[in-house]
Amino acid sequence: MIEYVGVPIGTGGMACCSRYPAGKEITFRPVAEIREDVRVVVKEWASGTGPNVTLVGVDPFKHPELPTLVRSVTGCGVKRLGMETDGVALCSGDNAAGIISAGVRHIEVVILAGDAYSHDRLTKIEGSFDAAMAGMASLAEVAKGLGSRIIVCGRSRICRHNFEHTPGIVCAFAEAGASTVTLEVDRAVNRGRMRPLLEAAVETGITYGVWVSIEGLTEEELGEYSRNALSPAYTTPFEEWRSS
Amino acid sequence: MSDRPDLTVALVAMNWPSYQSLALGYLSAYSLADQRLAGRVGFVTMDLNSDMDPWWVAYRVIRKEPDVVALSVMCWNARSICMACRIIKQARPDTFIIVGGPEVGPIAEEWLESRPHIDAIVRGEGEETFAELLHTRLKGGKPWRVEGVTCRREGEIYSAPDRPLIADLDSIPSPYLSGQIVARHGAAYIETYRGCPYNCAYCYEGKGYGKVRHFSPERVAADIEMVASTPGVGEFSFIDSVFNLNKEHLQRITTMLEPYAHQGKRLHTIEVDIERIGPEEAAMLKRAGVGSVETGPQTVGSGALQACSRRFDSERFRAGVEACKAEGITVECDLIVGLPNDTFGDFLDGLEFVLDVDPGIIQFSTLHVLPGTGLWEHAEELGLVYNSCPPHEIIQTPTLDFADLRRAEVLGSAVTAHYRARVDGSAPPA
Repeated sequence: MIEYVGVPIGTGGMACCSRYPAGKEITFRPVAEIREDVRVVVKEWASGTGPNVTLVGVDPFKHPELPTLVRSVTGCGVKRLGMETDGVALCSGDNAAGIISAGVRHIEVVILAGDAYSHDRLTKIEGSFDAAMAGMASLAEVAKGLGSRIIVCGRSRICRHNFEHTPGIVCAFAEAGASTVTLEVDRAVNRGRMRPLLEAAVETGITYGVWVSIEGLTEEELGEYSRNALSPAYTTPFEEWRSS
Repeated sequence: MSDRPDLTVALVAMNWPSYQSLALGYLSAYSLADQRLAGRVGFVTMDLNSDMDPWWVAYRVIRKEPDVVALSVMCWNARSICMACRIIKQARPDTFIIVGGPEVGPIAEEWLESRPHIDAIVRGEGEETFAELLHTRLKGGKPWRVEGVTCRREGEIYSAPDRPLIADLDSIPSPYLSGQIVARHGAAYIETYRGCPYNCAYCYEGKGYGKVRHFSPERVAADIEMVASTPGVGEFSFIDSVFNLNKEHLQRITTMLEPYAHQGKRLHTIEVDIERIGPEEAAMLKRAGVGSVETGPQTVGSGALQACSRRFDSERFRAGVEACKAEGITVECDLIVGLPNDTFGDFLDGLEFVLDVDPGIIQFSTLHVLPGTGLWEHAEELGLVYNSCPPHEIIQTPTLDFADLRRAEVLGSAVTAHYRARVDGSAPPA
């Protein structure tokens, strides 16, 4: 389907379960370095619809030079530009309008549970679930006002602390207007206990008209849901893309 | 003293937003040119949107107190039209209700059987039959004697013999030149011929209207001049099943359109056979003012292509898209999910193909098994299970079960949404 190249803009700042040891310290790459990577992607893009880039590694709203960064990336000639965020900043000030006006069209919001109580407990950030949902709504409204076609997707990292929330996560994203939900399943999650919940998540998606992609499980493990290994859009890490 | 004509006729269409019904214009233009009807029949045209509440459609009709109501029925508006007819009939039982269009013509008897509120169905090409029916109505004659009509004869449903297709299309006055339709920006459509050289099994066009019959070049030129010169009309289109029917036709139309293209008039979403477009043809399209074209492939699965009597050459297709893109013409590629013999894998191959071709717009839809089409006729032997009620969506096929079809729909929608979310991508104007 549609390939994006994941260009790192920093490290250590993506939304994740707080019950795991704290990740690396947050670092940011300079805009000039990022732009060079994007130029490589644009120059070496071989075939298919593109070049497409997604900003990875750290929540872009935490990047101190986000406006310059986005302008710089779109100025390189990418066809599609995406970013992954916890969504909290989307309903603040002109953030939603700012990124859409700058050319971001693919926004992936990360949540860890399908309700405010569980999500906030896992992130240890009070109000973060409601803010993410409000951010998604704000994006849709702003895009409509600007006449821009954007796509809002959901992503959740499923670990042993939140796997019971999987159908609820899909439901929450669907009600917030996501077109696709990606479930990134940790290898440590018990497969037997996970399976009925994944099935429920996939079927919840279908009844809402939302495609659920599952990462981290083999086709064999997915069984009759092996088609859900497919994703309408997927991200290849920059280094991996270059070496291929 | 009343100035009402002897027969007041309400013509009703429920279109997709931004469409004007050419059919209603043809019906009134043809009838008004009939000396037997001129001065005795008055028309009220209601060109409405398909999302309009049937109760308000009925309200607008009833307020005009027509003697006859004639409605154009397509698969997407059949339910609403039916409900409006039922309300009209109950409120004004003496109103004579006629329906026509591809949704009803091929299954006229079945339609009347289950819809007592409808009095007559015009089958096939409507202009001549409709005028005859109005004349019969005026003189108090029997509608079942009119060729091309299905109605009740002494309580029994009866179909009069088929009416031959109109040999000379120029005998149908132009709705634009006769003043029956005033062209609107983006919503006006011109027809240069009827029928289709192809016979795709899911489509009514080639089968229902038979061999290709042309309007004269003079008539087409006059229509173009009228539409393109209408104040406020900067964009219009053609309703022809294949705009690039052949090179001569394309050349002729291009010559007619070029002066208006120089004035900034644009054509949107004309349907083309992309495999017959090379650099020369694409340049002609550009000169004609074409901004966007719509095309297949509908499917890339060999089994489905065979079952649908379609051909597909991936290299020619790709070359056609590239030629259009080189001229700055946006291409819309259409895919249909649920065609006979197509598997989930074929559907994915189709998606991958159009993504790789990168046309600009990807549109994907679920198969509708339409009355009168090859698929409708052979549905049982092909194992197609579809909704018998309009719009006749496919439910399952031997190679795509119900669940897989729904999964394919959801995946297809997600892919097309991702595809159109581009840095330069804006939503179409409201």
